[in-house]
Amino acid sequence: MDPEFDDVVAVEDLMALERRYASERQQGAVSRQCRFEYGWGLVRSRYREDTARGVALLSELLPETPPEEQRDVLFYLALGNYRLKEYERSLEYLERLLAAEPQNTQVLRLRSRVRSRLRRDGLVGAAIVGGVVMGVAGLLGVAISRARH
Amino acid sequence: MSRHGLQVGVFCGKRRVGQVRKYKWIKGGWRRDRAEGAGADEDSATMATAPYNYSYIFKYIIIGDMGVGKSCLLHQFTEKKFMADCPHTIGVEFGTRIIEVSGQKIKLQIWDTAGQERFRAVTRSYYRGAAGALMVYDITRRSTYNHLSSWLTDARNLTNPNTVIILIGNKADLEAQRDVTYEEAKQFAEENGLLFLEASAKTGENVEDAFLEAAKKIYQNIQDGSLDLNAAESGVQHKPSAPQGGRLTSEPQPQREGCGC
Repeated sequence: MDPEFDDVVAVEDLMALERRYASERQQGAVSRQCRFEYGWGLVRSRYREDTARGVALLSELLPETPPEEQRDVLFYLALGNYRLKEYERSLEYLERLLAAEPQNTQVLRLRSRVRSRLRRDGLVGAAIVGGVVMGVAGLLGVAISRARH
Repeated sequence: MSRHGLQVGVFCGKRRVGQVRKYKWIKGGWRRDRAEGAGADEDSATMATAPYNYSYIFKYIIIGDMGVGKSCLLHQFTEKKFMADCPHTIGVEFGTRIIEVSGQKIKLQIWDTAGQERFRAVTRSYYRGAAGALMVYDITRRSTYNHLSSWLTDARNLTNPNTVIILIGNKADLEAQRDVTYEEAKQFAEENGLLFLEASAKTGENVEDAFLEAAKKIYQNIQDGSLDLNAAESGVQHKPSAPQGGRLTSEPQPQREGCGC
């Protein structure tokens, strides 16, 4: 599996980010920087609920982000959606990034990964749906093979 | 009917979905044909059945101010290409390459961090467990050299005492715009116990050596015992090529959502 996209944030790091977020919240408004860092940590958590929270946090952050920093938020939104298996949504964010930077290798790599997952998961889905049909066709496949040998 | 061989495939209509498995008639039953190259699917390829063609994994990080050429060094090293108009790294980028030191094949796992200030907290979490660190500055921009003490402080605080740090003065091809002399950088490196090289991601000069010299030092530390392979965050994983009663460590497998195992 790909360390670049599948690696998991260390628990102590996430906890430290959480503490900072909580403490800033207590004092009033949380800074954009703190929200970004916490969102990034959540996205890379091993737990799905965390990743979903991270995606929500970053989605809220995006419209408040200055244009030159949006690429960072967009990328982690794409990554978070990939990890949640929301491949179509992930691709939307990636296409937005590529519209501005068509040669960005990080984005191209993530896109290729998302696409291959989409293909693979799509095949598995079709297999489950077509279970009965496949059972029969599978037997036919076996029969034909035996005949040849 | 011949019983020499049987191929089983799963079909959805005419299209094959999933593996073709081959079976031979052995000892009164159809058994999986082990003589075939295992036919491992893409997911199990990373697990125990894959041949270990390296005996160690070293984790590296690349740190330094934005724009000094960290990503270009990584790309030159892993892909032998120079990317002229490289956009700023988002967070971290990852690359790998297998090298050889003293007859041992070593896989380098390299985390290239974004130099922008707003990524500092993000990238700091990648320092943990690094066996080697490339600390990069740009010889044509003095400010990037002046910031080295700050990068070095982070590196010392967040990595372990045995982490090998190599100072790299990048853009050595731009001699006419040099702003930092070789001598002063060399002295800084010596004062701080760092390896030092000037390199050019553009021409490739010293790029291989940058990664290799650090690896040699790490390997030497392993040989003379100063690096404990069993320590949790040494940044080194050892994989014996043949089981000899030693522990077979496996690469950390990232969690897969929805995996029932």
